[in-house]
Amino acid sequence: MHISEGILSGPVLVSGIALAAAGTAIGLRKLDVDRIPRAAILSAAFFVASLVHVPIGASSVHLILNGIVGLILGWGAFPVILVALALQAVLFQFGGITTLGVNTVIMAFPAVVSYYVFGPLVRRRPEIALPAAFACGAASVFLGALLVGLALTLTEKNFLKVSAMVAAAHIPVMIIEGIITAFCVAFLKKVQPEILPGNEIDRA
Amino acid sequence: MFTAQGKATALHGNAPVRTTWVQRVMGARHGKAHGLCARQQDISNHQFMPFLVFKVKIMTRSIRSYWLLPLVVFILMRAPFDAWSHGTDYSLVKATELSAVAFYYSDGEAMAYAEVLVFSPKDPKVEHQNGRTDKHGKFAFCPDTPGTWRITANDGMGHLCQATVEVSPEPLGGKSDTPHGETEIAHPVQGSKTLRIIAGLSLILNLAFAACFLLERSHAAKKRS
Repeated sequence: MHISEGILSGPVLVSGIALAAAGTAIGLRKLDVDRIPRAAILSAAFFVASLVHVPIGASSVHLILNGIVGLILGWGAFPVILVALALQAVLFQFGGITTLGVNTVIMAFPAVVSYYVFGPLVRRRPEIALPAAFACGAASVFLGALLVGLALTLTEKNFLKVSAMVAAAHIPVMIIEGIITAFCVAFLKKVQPEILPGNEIDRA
Repeated sequence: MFTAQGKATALHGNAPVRTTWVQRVMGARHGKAHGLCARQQDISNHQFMPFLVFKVKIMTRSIRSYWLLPLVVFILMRAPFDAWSHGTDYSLVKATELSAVAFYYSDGEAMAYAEVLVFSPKDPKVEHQNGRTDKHGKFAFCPDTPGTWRITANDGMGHLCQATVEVSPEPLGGKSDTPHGETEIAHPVQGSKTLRIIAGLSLILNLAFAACFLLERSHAAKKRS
């Protein structure tokens, strides 16, 4: 899901940088000192997850884990994902430096959306929380695939065809991520339920 | 015999017979104004050969009237028509004229069936060649100019790889058995993957630690003030 250098046009790259900067500013404001260690662990997990490859036919896709990052951090997903992507670009040439903004938006924006959509549900009873967690993981990847298609379309490509291709290639990733997110949520509900969103969204 | 109007007539008995110009052309040489029927001629021994020639001419009239057709075909075959139907043939390219690149993902997986564009040093805008990589991510092309050749592979899902191949000119003296000098632009030196993962993780954790430390200090300073 990382877009490489040299594919996107200038306006798309600049818009990506602007949106990522805005999201990161909001995220940094909402990230208080207590949540920084949590953010660091999730950033490390996100960084390593991209190294787990799922070979699909001719192409190769990798885990993303933006669902669980979004559930736990909300807007804090932006700075976390930005840092992890920057390190991936520098150390592994995943994505690129100019496409850092676009890639951050592609992965962090679905995380924030999942936080607001599925966050209230994961604090409920397990019969609701676990399917919601599965849906959260799958939907984050799917929304990311749509954003990749949108970014490529804005550089004169066929949106439906590209989005369908990327989404189809990520279907196994959606399923795997849904399962991982459900496991994480089940574990956290037993061990540290206050880490999960729910009450603060209801209050907000 | 020609009448005053210029039309030849033949005497058959005493009645004049109307003739066409064709008949006149064919029969006039022999002093006969028509050549329609042997019975209308005075056939004598010394006239047999001319008559035979005349008969052949009559019989081949329909064929001879198409004498233009071979001429037309001959002219057409000489004309430079672009739409002339093409025959095809092939020849094998020598290995020394070939150049090939293999594309792969960072995890070692081959970039199979990716869209490839080859750009020659002469024209960086219009591609010299386009196609797809094979099952193993390999693509071959024949450089025709020395210089830097740029090859890009795009899998259509946001992954693009660019390779550069330096093609040196052929040595003087015409054909050579050695291939064109090709050197790949060297990739940046990469450490081992595990080390890079550890470096990334430690950077993240150190960043978080530094942020925590600095924020705590600023909060403490604010509290004191």
